[in-house]
Amino acid sequence: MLLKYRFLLLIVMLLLTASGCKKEKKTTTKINSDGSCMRTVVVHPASDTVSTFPVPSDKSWETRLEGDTEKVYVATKRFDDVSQLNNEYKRADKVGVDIQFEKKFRWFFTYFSYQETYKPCFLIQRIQLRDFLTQEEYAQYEKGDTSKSLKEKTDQFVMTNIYEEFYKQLIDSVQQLHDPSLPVSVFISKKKEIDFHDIGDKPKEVVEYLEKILGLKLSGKLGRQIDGIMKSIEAKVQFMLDAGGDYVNEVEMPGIVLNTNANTVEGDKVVWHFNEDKFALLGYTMTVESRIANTWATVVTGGVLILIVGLLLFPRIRRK
Amino acid sequence: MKCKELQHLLYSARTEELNPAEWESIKKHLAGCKACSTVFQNISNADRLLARLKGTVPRIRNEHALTESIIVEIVNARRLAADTGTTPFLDRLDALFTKEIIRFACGIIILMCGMSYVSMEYNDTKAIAHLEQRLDEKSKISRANIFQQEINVLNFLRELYGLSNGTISSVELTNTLVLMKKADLQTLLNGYKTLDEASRTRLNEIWDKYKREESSFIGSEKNREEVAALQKEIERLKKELEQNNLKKGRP
Repeated sequence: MLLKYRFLLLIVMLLLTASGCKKEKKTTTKINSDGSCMRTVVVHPASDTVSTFPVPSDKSWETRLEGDTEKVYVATKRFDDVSQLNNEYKRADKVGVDIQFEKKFRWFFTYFSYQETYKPCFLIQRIQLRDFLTQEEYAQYEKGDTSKSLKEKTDQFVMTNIYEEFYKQLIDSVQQLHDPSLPVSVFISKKKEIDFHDIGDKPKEVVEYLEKILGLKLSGKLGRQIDGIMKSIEAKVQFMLDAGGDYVNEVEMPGIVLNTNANTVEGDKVVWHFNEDKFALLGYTMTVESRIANTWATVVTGGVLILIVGLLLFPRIRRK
Repeated sequence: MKCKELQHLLYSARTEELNPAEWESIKKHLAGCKACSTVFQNISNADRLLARLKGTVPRIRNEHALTESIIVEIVNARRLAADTGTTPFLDRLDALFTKEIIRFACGIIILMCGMSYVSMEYNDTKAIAHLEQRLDEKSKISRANIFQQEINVLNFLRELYGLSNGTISSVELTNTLVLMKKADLQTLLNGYKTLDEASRTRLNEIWDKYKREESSFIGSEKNREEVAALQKEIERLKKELEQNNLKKGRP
């Protein structure tokens, strides 16, 4: 499907080939009832630690390589509270990961809610997915629909977004040039005539195609800028491609799991299996809620209730 | 009439009226009994005194001595209470928990504790049931996908096997597939080694069709691995078949 777009064909080809590589990042987080946690990140293959998905590597983490033939990178660290863990992932050059943890004391029970969000790795946001898809399609996409038709639609969204980004940057460059022979109004008015499916994937081809449609002499004036624009877009697409692979997120909660959007629940452990498609465009939020029974509170309440009942019966017993 | 009966009548006479016959018998007894006459005299004197005191305020002659005697009485009462196991604290508790408002407040506390626990437990049980239902539905979908995948593979194998001898029944084929035993698959696939040219063309068509459908497989990780192993095996046999044909001089 994507092959019908000639524009940035190289990027499209990258998109197709990237999906063939087997990469996996498994994250295990054990949350304790006091709010402290233990995080283990396993990257397969070990060489994938440089991907755009944040993989901890600083000295505060205990890191090691495992496996004989195919090495696996393992990093472990203990955190006093989840906010510390959240701070570990605040890196602008990587895919955003936001972790929230809440503990609510409700006398008989203590409730815990954990939320981990992988922010979108597709950084071009000229148009919004909500505006591109119909309301129904958007709802299906949010639910995690993986049907072919919807996949085609989202691929189309990616390509349209790339083109919009390209054209926006092109107009910005033209405005900066202040060249009377390159009127911005022509670029804006003739935008609709440009069929981005027909634009080539090399800067020279792009210039030639635009010259033909716009009726302006661009080479020598805009050639360098177009090259720069395409490189910046390629870098953004590469960012998304680097985040590609399979993801497994495992969270072990204190107490009984009450609610989660995970694929599987095994006792107090919840597991999400997904790939980059899940968070590429909209981000993906994984939530889990659990509770533990406060035995001491139940005992105290029971004691107090027995005392109250005793006192209520006391006058009657005394009179007898 | 005995003295005891007479004295009883005399005391009754102070509060209720006696009939003439009773008065007559009292008079007769008093005339002959000195002790009862004295009792009658005392009662009459006391009644007269009470009649005179009516409407006057009593005066305490020695207030200090009275207070002291009251304190002594209280102390003695407390000592007595301590000896019998009752204390003023318990008296106070007794008094407190006899009050209606306190009893009502205690009832509310007990009710609120119970309701709070039950409501929390109810909500959480409901949440767990909802989660289990959602996971069950998900697993059903997943099972359906696996089933669809098996059907795809089954159809593929049936078509493929039909080219070689066609003697295997659907049941056998299904069993082979469900068991997914490598040896069974091997037996099944070995049959294709002796295909003629027309069958080879058909095999390629089926293989291409199978490859196209493969992208829609969403089965479990285990099934995916099995299907991948099956694909590898078929590819290997296909290559082997081509090599054999080349050796035999077939195009």
